[in-house]
Amino acid sequence: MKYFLLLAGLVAALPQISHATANATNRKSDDIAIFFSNDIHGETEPCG
Amino acid sequence: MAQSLTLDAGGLLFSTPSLLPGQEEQAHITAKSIIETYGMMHYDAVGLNAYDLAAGVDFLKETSRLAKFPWLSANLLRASDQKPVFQPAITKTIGAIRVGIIGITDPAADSGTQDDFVIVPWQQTLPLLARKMSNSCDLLILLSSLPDQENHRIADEVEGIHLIFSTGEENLPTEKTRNTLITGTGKKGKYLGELLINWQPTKIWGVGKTEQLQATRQKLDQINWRLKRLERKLRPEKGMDSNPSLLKDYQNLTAAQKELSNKISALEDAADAKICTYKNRFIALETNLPENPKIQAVIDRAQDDVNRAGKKRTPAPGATTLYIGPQRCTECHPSEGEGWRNSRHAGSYRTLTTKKQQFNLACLPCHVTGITDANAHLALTLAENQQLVGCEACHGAGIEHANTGGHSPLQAPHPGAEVCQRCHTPEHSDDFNYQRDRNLVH
Repeated sequence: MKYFLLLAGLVAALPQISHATANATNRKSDDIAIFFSNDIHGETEPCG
Repeated sequence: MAQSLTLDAGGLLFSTPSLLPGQEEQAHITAKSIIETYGMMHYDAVGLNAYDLAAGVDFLKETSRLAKFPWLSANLLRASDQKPVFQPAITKTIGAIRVGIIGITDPAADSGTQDDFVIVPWQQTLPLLARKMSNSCDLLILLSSLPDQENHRIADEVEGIHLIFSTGEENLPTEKTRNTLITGTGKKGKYLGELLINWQPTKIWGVGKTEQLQATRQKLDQINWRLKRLERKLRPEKGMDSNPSLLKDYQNLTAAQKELSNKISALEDAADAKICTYKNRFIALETNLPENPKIQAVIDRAQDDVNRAGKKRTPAPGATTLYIGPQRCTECHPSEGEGWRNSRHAGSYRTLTTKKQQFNLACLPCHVTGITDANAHLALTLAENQQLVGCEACHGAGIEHANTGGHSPLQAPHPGAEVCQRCHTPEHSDDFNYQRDRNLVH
């Protein structure tokens, strides 16, 4: 099963990303943040 | 804290438009787990890519209870009545903004074997749907698995779509065509795209007022400087009319000066709320991020299920008898055999058994001898002397060569990089270097 490593990591990443982004850009409260992925299950754990 | 959406334009589940023979059950288990984890990550919507249909429309429908997110496709229709098979679109309210999200599927990737369903060209459904939704939505988003060229055509021809998320090979920094932004994250999940939007009632994309003012003032400064130089040259005592070319330049620059001054005044007077702005970046996802325990549990369960599914398969005779195994090879090639025994190739199958993945058809072809992805299911029936990456994995089946005392040549006496790269792909072996690593084998 080669998938999933980043799929799992992403769950941890999302709150971190949101937090960091909010701090970094000091964005307005009515901004919309859209996260978009492509094939995030496709990154592979090095085999063997 | 800003409100957020999490979206994907599709292509989550399978890497081929139809499932390979003998791999259906394992592919289903994997796909269900991906669907479940996307739900756990609170995806708001996922576009339907034709590859997601590799196991059939019914499979997707059956697993939709796991999904907890909608699959969107405005152009996957039932052939019988031309009605959408999945939801064409959804709407969500983010703060005070009503967001419409449409999915579109690439017909070119359709395997053509899908029951009673058809993927029609976007022109048949999208323009009408976009027009209808733009009346009721403030911000309209398209999740598209179409190629880049088609996405630009949509931006050119379809009114009302403000954002297109694509599924390209590489990260696509935001491009603007008319009033549509196109962006997308590259394949293989190395990045997460992020778009921060300050959306305003004008629904018109622009750069920020500050940046526009700065750029316009810079242009005005340049023109003012050129005008001063010209004025020195065109003093009356020098005869202004004596140089028509300079005079023409002077008149053009004066007009531009006036235009830019007016633009600056307008920008200074304009309320901040008139322009929609965005910031786009791609966040590299690191493999050393801590795992989420709940998703890890889904992964562990899926791995066990996949392995179990492979294990229970009834062995079938495989076309594997042309392989003689490394023991026999080393009878005549002892030094090469010694080098191979000390290489990681010799223990390739053990790495799977250690992880309890020795029945996983997604892994097996690269950990055994004589099997490709296309006949991966035969790997479950291999003899022990093929349960490793042996000499014949790179040089080809050796029975003829051995039985003729070496007179019959091997298929690949000196395998090149392309042989190694069948398995040592950037995804599986990102630091592989043929010139350096070929010596690790023997």
